Amino acid sequence: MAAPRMTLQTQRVLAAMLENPLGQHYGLELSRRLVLPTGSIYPILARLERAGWVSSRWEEIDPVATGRRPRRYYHLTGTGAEQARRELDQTVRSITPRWGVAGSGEVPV
Amino acid sequence: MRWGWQETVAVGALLLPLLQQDAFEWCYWLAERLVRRAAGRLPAVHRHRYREEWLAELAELRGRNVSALLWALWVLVNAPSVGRGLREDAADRWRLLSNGYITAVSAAGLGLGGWLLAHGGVQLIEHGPRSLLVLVGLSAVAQLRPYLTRVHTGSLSFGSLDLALVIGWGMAAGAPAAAFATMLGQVVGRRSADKVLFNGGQYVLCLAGAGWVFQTVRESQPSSPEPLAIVAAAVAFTALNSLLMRVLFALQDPDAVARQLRKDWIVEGLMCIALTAAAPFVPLVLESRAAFVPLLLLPEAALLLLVFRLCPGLGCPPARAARR
Repeated sequence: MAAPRMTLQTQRVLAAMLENPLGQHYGLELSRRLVLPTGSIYPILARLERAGWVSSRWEEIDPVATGRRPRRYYHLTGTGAEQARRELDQTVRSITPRWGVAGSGEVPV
Repeated sequence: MRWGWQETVAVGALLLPLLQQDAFEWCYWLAERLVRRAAGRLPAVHRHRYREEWLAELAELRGRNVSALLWALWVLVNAPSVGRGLREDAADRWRLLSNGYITAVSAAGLGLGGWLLAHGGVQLIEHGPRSLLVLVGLSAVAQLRPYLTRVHTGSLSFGSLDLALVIGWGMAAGAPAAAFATMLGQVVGRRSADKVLFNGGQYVLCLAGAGWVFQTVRESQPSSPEPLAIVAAAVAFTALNSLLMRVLFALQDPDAVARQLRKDWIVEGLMCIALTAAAPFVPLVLESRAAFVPLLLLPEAALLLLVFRLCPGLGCPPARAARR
């Protein structure tokens, strides 16, 4: 499967997910955390899911008991986390000036 | 009592909270409608999942209905982008199938061509090698016609030359020779390797089929005139050629195939008529060697002229180049 297009927004989403690689995330929560235009998170998640970097599942709740619909949770797959780290490291290296301080490994958000 | 501005302000002050409350509720109602509309823009198999996902997230914004409306608007605006991301899945599958089909036809056709040559084809070539070379050369040049004239004519080409090769030298020698001519013409025309191989394989398969039909008809009805067997071979050649191409078009662009189907069948029907009209000239060409080749080409040349002059739309299927 081809790697997803690495836009700045995609990198931000991956970085947010990598902060808690085993965590479950949903679209609205991610867009709030990243202050992204709300609807734009879904094309990114769709492409990451298509590429196999992210997988999703329905929240297991009883909608009647909780009084709300189940959310769709997204999480990084093993390969996805590995690939995402590699991509983000590469981005950090590419934007770190050669004569400057080596990249700290922080994600460019 | 006169209605003045003070009264308007007073009534407005009373009604405004009610209207505001209503408008507030309407915002959420409208947001739900927009989310459903956005899900409706996705491929059918994904609609339910995304509708539920977005409605669940919209419900979190309940109470902040203007925000909910803005969020829903963004979802609606971005729905085509989500749809594109999801459709690529299907496109990938079709591309894989299409590549698999190209490989299968190329391997089957070229493998059969090699097998035919090894099982008697080479010996058959020795009967009238000069005429065979003339026909192979002409067939190769015919493949170059779209590049020389810069006019693409879809599936139209001088198939009567290839048919003459199969009828004159038998299935075992004629089919590989015609396929070789096709590939040679296309290599000179700088077509990509996969297209050259596919068309070579396609030609061996449909001409071997036509050769087999010719032999079967001639052997089953020895009293009937030879042109009848040639007509049967022409029909088999056109039908097999069309079928092999049609499957490829369907795999390459499933949406466009329905639109293209009617137009292509008209062209291929005309092609079959032209080949049938050329059938009586095939024995003449084979007996008198190359002198009657122009007669052989006449029906198809007339068809090409008809397509170019009278119905140019028929001859130029938009989604493909010269042969496929």
